[in-house]
Amino acid sequence: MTGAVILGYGLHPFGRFPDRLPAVVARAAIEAALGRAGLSAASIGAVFAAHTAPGSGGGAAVAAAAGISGVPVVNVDQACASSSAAVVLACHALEADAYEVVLVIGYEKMSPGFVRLSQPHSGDDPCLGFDLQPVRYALKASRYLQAYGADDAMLAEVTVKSRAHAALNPDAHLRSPTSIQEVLMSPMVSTPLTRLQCCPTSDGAAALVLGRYDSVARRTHARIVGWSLGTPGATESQDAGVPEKFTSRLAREAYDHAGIGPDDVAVVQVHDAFTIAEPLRLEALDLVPEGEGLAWTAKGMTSIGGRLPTNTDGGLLSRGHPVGATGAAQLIEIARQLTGDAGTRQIDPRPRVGICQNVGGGENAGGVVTILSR
Amino acid sequence: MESAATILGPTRAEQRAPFVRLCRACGSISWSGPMCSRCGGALEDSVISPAGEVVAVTTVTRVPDDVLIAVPYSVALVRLGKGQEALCIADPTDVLRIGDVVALDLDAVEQAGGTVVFPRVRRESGSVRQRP
Repeated sequence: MTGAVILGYGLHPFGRFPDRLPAVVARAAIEAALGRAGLSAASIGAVFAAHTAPGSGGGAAVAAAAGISGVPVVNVDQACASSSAAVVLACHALEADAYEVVLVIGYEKMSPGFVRLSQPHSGDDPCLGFDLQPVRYALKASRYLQAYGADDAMLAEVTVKSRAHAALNPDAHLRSPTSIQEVLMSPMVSTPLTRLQCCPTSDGAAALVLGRYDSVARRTHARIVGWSLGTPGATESQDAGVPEKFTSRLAREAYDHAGIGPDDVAVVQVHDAFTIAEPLRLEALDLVPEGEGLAWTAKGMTSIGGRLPTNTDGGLLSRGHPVGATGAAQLIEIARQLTGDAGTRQIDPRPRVGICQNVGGGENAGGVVTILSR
Repeated sequence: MESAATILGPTRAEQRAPFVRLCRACGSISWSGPMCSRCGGALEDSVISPAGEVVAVTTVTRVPDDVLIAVPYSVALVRLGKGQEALCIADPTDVLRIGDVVALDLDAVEQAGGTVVFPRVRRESGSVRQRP
């Protein structure tokens, strides 16, 4: 049978923790996940560790800090999509019966400021001014606003909604409510995106304990039932692609894998690194008609209590974005919603199916779409 | 009205201009090396189209310290002939708008030390939309 069961999950809060080592941040998430699963460190057969900094190969040290040693530890760097890619690898390992229980840990310690794209590996000069994430997303925003007749205030609504959700999430980085005016009056970064329309870089960690699908826990726990992991084809990764062909393709593949369609989805996590990303990706997931994403948010349809609750934990814009941990955190929020463990931000009625969309390096490092069910 | 998209820097552009090549396989522009930096495909001798239509534009006001170009500067995505798209840097005082037709002069890159740069081009299916 396809997929895996989420036996346990845990987070280290997202934010700024300059005095804590990566291993300390990660260990907190791992111990919380093991505790929720009711398992010990000795039960972990393999570890998939997602991180992009500092340095390479840190997964073994992080696992050891949590008491897990002597087992395979695979380090996964897929930029912002690292831990969701690690989850896919973990699912394959479980499906192959290589292990009964595995751990995915995503963690990151980050500096404030810009996140680089991956062009230096392909020879493009990183200092020319093109490789900045806000620039690429701002181009998408300018194209979207022009094509669909939306305006700056509608973009700002995405941040306002995100903060309202994060206010209900004690693990979120930015929890203070904001307003359209405050968002629009914050310093301009790259027109039309102001600072409050850009996600923060954060410290944090997210851990998942996964078991084989045939585990008895599948009756009560959230399950990962479909996914697509890929990189964009030559004509899919566009500098200002509107709509986003790459994400659309991943979504189709994930829906096919799960045997589930967009109409079944009741809760959503999208990679909202910038405000424009939320409508683009809701549309790419075939959950919202093309060009209507911002209108849905303005009408409250993507809020908790709305027709399509999206980024109920605040998303990247407010929950924060510790790059290596973001994908796992998305999955955790969906698992919480499916199992009725989301506290004051719980969706009512409790959803049966949720979807996560995570992308790395703009799109260049690849992306993952994952579908969960209960 | 046609306007030139003018780069404000960087000074290294003239060293890179001779290496600007269009990939025959994926349509990307590569700056260096014997093959496409994106897909490894063979490269054309030069970019085909010297002009195009702005399809997206942003003016950048904040950048990391190690970016060579001074803010503010504009980045425009320009749709060229034969379905290609190119990013270029423009002077923000040009106030480019979506739909503007701009000239992209590769000779100027080589002669003046950097008037336009093309870090990437896409070849897409279908015809290029014509401005009235």
